[in-house]
Amino acid sequence: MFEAPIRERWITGDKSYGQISDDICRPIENPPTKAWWGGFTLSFIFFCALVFGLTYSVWNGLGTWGINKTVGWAWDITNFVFWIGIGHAGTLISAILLLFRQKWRMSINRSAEAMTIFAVMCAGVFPIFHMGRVWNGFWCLPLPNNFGSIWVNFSSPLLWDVFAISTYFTVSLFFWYMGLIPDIATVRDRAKTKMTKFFYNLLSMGWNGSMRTWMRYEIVCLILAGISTPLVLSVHTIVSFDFATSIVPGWHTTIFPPYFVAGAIFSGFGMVLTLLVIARKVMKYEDYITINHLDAMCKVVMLTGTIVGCAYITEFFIAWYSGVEYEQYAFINRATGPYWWAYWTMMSCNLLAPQVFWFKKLRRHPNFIFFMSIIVNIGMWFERFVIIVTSLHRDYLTSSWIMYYPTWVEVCIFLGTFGLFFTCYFVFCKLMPTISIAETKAIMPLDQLPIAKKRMAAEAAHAH
Amino acid sequence: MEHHHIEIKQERFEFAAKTKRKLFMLLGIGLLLVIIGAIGEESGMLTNRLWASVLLGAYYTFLLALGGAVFIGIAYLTNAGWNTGFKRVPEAMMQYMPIAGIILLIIFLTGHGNLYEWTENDAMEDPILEGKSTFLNTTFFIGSSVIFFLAYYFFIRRLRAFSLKEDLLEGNDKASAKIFHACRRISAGFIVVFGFTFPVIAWQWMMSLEPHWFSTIYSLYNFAIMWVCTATTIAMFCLWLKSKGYLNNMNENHFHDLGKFMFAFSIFWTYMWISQYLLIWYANIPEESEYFTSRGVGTAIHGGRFEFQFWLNLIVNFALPLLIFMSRSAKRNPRTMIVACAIILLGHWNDLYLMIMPGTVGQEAPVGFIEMGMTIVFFVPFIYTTLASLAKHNLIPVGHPYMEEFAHHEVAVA
Amino acid sequence: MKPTKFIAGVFDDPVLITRAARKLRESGVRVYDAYTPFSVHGLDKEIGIKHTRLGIAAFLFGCTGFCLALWMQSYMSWSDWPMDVGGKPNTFVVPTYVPVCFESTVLCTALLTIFTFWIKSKMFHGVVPDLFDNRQTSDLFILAIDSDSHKNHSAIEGLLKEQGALEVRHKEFGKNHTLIQ
Repeated sequence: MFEAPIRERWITGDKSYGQISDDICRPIENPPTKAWWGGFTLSFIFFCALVFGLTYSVWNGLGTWGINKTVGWAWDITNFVFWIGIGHAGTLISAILLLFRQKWRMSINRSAEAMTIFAVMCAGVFPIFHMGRVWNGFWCLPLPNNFGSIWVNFSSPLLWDVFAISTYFTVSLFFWYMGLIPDIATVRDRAKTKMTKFFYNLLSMGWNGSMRTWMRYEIVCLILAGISTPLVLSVHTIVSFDFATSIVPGWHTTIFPPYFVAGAIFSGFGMVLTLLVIARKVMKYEDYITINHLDAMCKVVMLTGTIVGCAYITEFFIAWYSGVEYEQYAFINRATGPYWWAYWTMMSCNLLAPQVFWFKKLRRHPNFIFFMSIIVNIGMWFERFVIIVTSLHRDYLTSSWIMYYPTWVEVCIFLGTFGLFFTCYFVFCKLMPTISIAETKAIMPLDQLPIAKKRMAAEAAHAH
Repeated sequence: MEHHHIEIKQERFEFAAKTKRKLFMLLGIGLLLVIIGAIGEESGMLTNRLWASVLLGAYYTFLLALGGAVFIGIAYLTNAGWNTGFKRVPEAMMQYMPIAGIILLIIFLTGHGNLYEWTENDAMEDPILEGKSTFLNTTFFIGSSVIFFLAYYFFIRRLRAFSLKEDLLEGNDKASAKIFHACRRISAGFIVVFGFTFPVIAWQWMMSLEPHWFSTIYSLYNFAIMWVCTATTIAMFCLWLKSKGYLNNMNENHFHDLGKFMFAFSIFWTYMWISQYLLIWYANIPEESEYFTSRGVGTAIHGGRFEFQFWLNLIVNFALPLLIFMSRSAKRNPRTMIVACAIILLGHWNDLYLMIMPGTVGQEAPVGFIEMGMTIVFFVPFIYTTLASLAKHNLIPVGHPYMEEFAHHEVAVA
Repeated sequence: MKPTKFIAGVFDDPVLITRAARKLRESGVRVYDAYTPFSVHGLDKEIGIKHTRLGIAAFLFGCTGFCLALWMQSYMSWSDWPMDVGGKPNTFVVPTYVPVCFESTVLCTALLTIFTFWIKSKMFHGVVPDLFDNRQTSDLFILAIDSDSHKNHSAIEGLLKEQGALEVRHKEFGKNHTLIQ
């Protein structure tokens, strides 16, 4: 396809097709580095903390958590929404940006999709263990209640969540795997040992790069992108329904669905930046994940941050405009009540901080971007905390007003999910190509390809 | 992977006298319809119907003019190349903005008493409305509207001026890149201003028609209508220009993308619709569900005057675009495209009707000659201005850095 | 009978392989298939690959998923044991069915389309593919021509060479090879 010369370049330097394979497969084919071992060990320690925290709370019951009668869910649902939101950037990059033909998604989509899957796994931990008796978890499946006569309640957003999250996880997993198949075949055909040959052959499903298969493959990927786009919206929409269908002040507001989706993309891009700023350095992918990529992602962060900020202001304004005193109080309480610090952390991290990305210099400064991505993560965690806890802790009955503080068990579980997330991520980096090899080759500009340059030179010579 | 040279020629649209005559005839038909509809109508009802339908027509065309500008702005910001060749169409659409502004201001100045219930609350009998009076008062209403119009017009003029400059720079890559980046900066400013002002417009012009009711998603819902209808109108103009032999570098690939655009944003509109409906229906708080019960749906009331139109909305704006645009060939065929475009535009007329009428005219509001005629009366000046400004300048942005890419554009799969 | 003997033109440039495919088509040679490290746009048309109908299948799968979910919810919360939650008695269709119907539509479309694709392309776990070259998934582009149904082998070879093939190989696979047509 013809490309205007004004377009940014998404790969630096001249690369032959073989070299792209070499570069991207390098971390898989070489023994793990010290940095990898260090990161993996640290993550695994945190993962052990998760196992311990969960075992402890199942053994002793949910009394070990800080939740109480008024604030019936707090830390767990905050973290659930936090992780689900992070996952959304992966689908956004792989599906929505594919539909919009944004080529810069090519070198980041694979790791972002992996992030989606791991983040959804982390998210799943919280509602499952908040059930208390996890062994009864199958009760939320559409089975006769207790094997009696009543079925599950399809009017409940919590049940919609079960369907949404499990569909999202399954479809994301398959979409990710579909994208991986051609690249797994590349790794398979380069493999040296019997073990790796067997392993990658098993996963490559006999892919041989046939043009017929490629054509079908592209259609399937496009269909998957087409349905993943509304899927990703629906997932966070349904998560927002958990709150918005209720009549709790500060929760029941119609803007929640799109606002949650924007927030999810915002936080997800924050996490993608956190991971990629490091990964591109450690795995020497600077030629593929360029400063231009970081720049583009910073713009998305700024845009979605501003949309989220606009939603905060809308909510606040309509709460006043509605004339409903409970609504009005809920918002005043958020900004000036006992949790004011959480509210203002959220406001400054999500609305104000991303505005620094108006400056091009800052969008192209990896260390600064890394710092900002952490700020975004913190801000979005606090957003969920503010929405959930401040609306619940002062309900309609003044006598039941109370504060919520997390216990060490909850903190342990939350930090533990980071362990789960990063353990999976490190394993993935070692086993699978973290940049899409086939797609990178397909978008390689002709004037950066040695073969094409040679051919064009020959043709030019021939014409004279 | 190889590409061949495609010639890009400048074109000049000629606004034929015949077309002008047809437009004037259409205007006459519109006026005639209004007059016929007015005969025999009881006077109180007549004033309400006239004002409400005036607001409908004016707001609809305003959305299209603003949408044209937003389309240009977003195209610049996202580095879109597929729409470069027909960018003069949305540009011409946004030229209607000053006229839309003046018309709407006149409506607000003269008709606010008939349209907006809260302006009658001088005696402060209604404590709820009194509580909102810092926002809902005529001074703020008119003042902010004037400021918004001026701000939009400022950006529109800048975008247009830079865009016309491009034509002179064909072949001069450096200079046109400079203009391109200037346009990106203007667009960024415009989109931010738009993002923060458009919600206010939706609240005060539309939501305050029923001043007791409120919904936070309302501004996004209005945006969705604007966005779908803008893409549809652009497609309509392009199809018409194409049938007259213009826009030679535009082909079925570009219409394919416009079709996808309309497909996607019809679903986006549905998303907004269902979010608002489902949440209000579910919680069933009287202050909120009143909006739906007055439209004939809800848990308690069925069979109101608007119930048919309410569900028709979903069929015309969601189901039909979904089914039509799903097929690849429909998007590439001018005939199906024009039918689908007409369906969407009429569908959103129905949508706007449902937003405006129950709060202004009331439960007896009909869909009569007045409403239809008045919409025609407002669309004719919009179409006329658009065509006139298309004719005033070159039709093809030959100096735009993405023009060549536009000419080579091809939708490979699906 | 599947062909087992192939003439394979090995290229290292996607543009050259596309040109060669066009030349072959013009001189009446039917290309069996091409094997490339990534999807080369334009090459599919030159070797005459028909448009796949997977899209239609996906639409039907989606409809199935939607109907399944609608039936499930109607049955469970209206017909088998009618439920009335929050003063909103369930009927055949209520707004609360929307989310689950949507999710089911997406799930069925995604999974069934992928499975159909795998079956149609004969992709299964554990299949050991037959390759012309180990680098065809990395940086070589192969144009395969069924050699039994063409007689003028030397002309084809010459044409491939002329169009810039690095080399031309004759390759024979076993009867149960994995190259699909």
